[in-house]
Amino acid sequence: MSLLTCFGLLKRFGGLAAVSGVNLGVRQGELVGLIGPNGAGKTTVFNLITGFLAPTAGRIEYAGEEITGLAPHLIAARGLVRTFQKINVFGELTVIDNVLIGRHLHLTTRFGHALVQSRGYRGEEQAARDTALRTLETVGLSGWETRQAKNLPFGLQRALGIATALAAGPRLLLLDEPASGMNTEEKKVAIELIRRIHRQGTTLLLVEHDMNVVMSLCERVIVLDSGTILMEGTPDQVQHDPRVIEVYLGPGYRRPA
Amino acid sequence: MFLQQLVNGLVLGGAYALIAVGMTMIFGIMNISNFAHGTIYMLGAYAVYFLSTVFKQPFFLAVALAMFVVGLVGIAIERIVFRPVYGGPVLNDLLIALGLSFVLENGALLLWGSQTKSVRAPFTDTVIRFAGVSVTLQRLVVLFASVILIGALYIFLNRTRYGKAIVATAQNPKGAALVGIDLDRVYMGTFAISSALAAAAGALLAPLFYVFPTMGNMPLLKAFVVVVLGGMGNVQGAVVGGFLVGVAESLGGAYISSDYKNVFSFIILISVLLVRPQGLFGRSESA
Amino acid sequence: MMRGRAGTLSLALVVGTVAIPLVIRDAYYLHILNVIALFAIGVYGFNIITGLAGQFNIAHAGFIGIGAYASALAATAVPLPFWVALPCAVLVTVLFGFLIGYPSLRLRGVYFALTTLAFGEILSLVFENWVAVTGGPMGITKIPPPAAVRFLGVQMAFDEKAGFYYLCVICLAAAIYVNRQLLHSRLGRAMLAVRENEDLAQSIGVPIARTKMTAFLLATALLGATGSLYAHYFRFISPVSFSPAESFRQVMMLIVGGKGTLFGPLLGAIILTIVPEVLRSIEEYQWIAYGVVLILCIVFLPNGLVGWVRDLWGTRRAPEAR
Repeated sequence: MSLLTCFGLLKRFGGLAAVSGVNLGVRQGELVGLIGPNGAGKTTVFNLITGFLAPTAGRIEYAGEEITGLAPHLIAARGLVRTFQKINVFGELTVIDNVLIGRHLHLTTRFGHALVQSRGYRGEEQAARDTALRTLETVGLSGWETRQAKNLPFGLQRALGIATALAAGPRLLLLDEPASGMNTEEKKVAIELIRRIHRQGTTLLLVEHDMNVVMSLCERVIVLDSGTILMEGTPDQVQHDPRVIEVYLGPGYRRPA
Repeated sequence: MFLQQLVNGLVLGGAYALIAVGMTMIFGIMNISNFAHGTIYMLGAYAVYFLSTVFKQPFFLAVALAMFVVGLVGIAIERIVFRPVYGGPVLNDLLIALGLSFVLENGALLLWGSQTKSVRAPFTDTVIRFAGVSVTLQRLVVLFASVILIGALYIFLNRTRYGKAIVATAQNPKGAALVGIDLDRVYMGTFAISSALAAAAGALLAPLFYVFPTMGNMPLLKAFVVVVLGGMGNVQGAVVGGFLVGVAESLGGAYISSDYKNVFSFIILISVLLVRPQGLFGRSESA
Repeated sequence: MMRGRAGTLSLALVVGTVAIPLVIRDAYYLHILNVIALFAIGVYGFNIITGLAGQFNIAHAGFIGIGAYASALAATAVPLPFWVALPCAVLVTVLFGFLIGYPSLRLRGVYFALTTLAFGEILSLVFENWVAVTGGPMGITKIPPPAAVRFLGVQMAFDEKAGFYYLCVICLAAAIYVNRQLLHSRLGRAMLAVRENEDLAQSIGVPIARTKMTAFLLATALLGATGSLYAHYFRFISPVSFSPAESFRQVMMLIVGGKGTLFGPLLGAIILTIVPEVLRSIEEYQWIAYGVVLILCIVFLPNGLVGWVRDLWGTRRAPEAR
């Protein structure tokens, strides 16, 4: 069943079309990769899907509903959550607070309840903490709860970013270069984590540069180049497609860390 | 009467444009809203006061020297005050700029007293009359000087290497760094130019109004309105906006209310925010 | 909530606070305490919009002025008793908060700060020039103190400094409580998220504009209350108390004390009220000193004294978010 579909996405900046004629889809339960050389428009596609950019033309449908042009927080409320390539933590806040903010959509009592400390409020807060702690365990951050996010080592910061996104309980999770800047060991851990998240039922679409990561995880790969879709297929098909090779200057292209 | 106010508005607008251009450059290139910009303008006025009254320099030389000196002050400010907080939260930039404006303003108060000073300029006495409009030569000088300085800035930004480096950095800081542009020098240069232009405005207007430590507060606000109206970071916008705000204020002050003249720029600000927040020349980019 | 050492400490603080007017009889010292408490309430309001939500409200004192003039007018012109004038003042101030916040808070970036900068100057202008309503530079005089109240069989008078002290302390306690509950609630965390990283906050469902507006409305409510208390304590208000310079001094209270912390505003109010009193002899230098201190604070202690102590302490007791 199709969870996300993009029809003819077009995004112009001035005279330049960053993304054009993009049709892509992600089915419920899939783990799809979106790859392409630098500047291909991958993050732009993410921004368009999640409402951070409004498309110049085209339609986006999610879970049977049109979400084109909706504000990002409304899209997130429907279960479509994304992470960021760069800063993906709330720096000054502690690790546990970061993840608690991820529970925003799932806390329903209003501030008035917090002022009178009603039973509903206290129950929800406790439940949120429990979920947050469990999520931290899933990503391997148990024990770091009270550390300020900006003081975390880089690899753990990325894990925290994923934890916060997970805490939001997404149905479809868009990961923007989750393994970038990591060493081989950290990448192995990241790959395992993403597999775990997928096994637990979340549909995933990830942008990644590291072909090894893509190969180990993705069932299907979409290749983007200069804002248009070049081809899509299994990782194997994509790796051996001559057009893709040409665009990447050779198979198994590794972007310098 | 209308033409008279129009001319007055253009004169004022030229000065607003000078102040706003520097402010919008700092915003566009370094993403800093310089709340201390009004005090820079004030320093320009005091500089020309001292240079022409105490050191008895001819007016235009005094203006040029004032621009130079205050430009150096601008560089010092960039290195000492703003550099430590680059990359931090925007709130810290705002707070530190506010603190700086207080230091400069009260420093001026302490050093030079609260009594207003006046600057005599060579053209204050000559009056030009045409088409029912009478304007002192000094005002026309201000207008022409503003236009010349803005023109000089255009040439600098578009024709010189340093200027083009600045423009490139405004459009794409990372790209600029990658092609080897020295960001430090760009930042310094931006502050220097911005301060020199604001000082020029302060110096040129000094003979027309009084010189006192808090004289920069209103121009600061007006400059912000101009920057928002023109589009934050947009130099053309600051020029066009400057003249628009100057004229609007002049006409509003004459036809509607003189006491609340300063409210007009506030009304412009709110209107822009409600109707077209990116300003006249800004791009509308969601999120 | 009350357990062990923390509980005993809290109890001691409460007892101490209540006992102060019984021990300290000198009107001057009581006055200082009242002034500290009064401004602290305002700074807690400032903390909500600027410390927690990260949006810089430069017209801080101006909004307090709105509350003060509204309350003063309600009490002298209508006239209404203080206990009605206070809520009216709060409503009026919140209304202005909404009017100023609506165009500016839905935009990202510095627009809110700029709008409040301009608005603060406009307010000064209006307070000075709209003589018919505000009395111009002469201000409003003969503002009545709060009427005495019978509570649980006890007659409480508020025209004495001691009586007013209790009123201020209760309001201050409420302000601190609101701040505390924000730090432990979804709304407060949303504000912090908006402050730290707007994009990230949106990506997990936090509505940016609405959160900022809520913060601002809460803040202006506290500022309105501060204004009303101010007017009925000093019984005389004039534009100079609500000028941009005054805003600056109260901004200092938050920055030096520690923005975003629970006790920073109170500490800042204490320091920035006592120090100027003590250093009255060198009054002319105080403003330039403030500016320098602010700059140094931002560079070296961006989270103020309380934040600095807490960083030294190392571990964070869980939800005491920054």
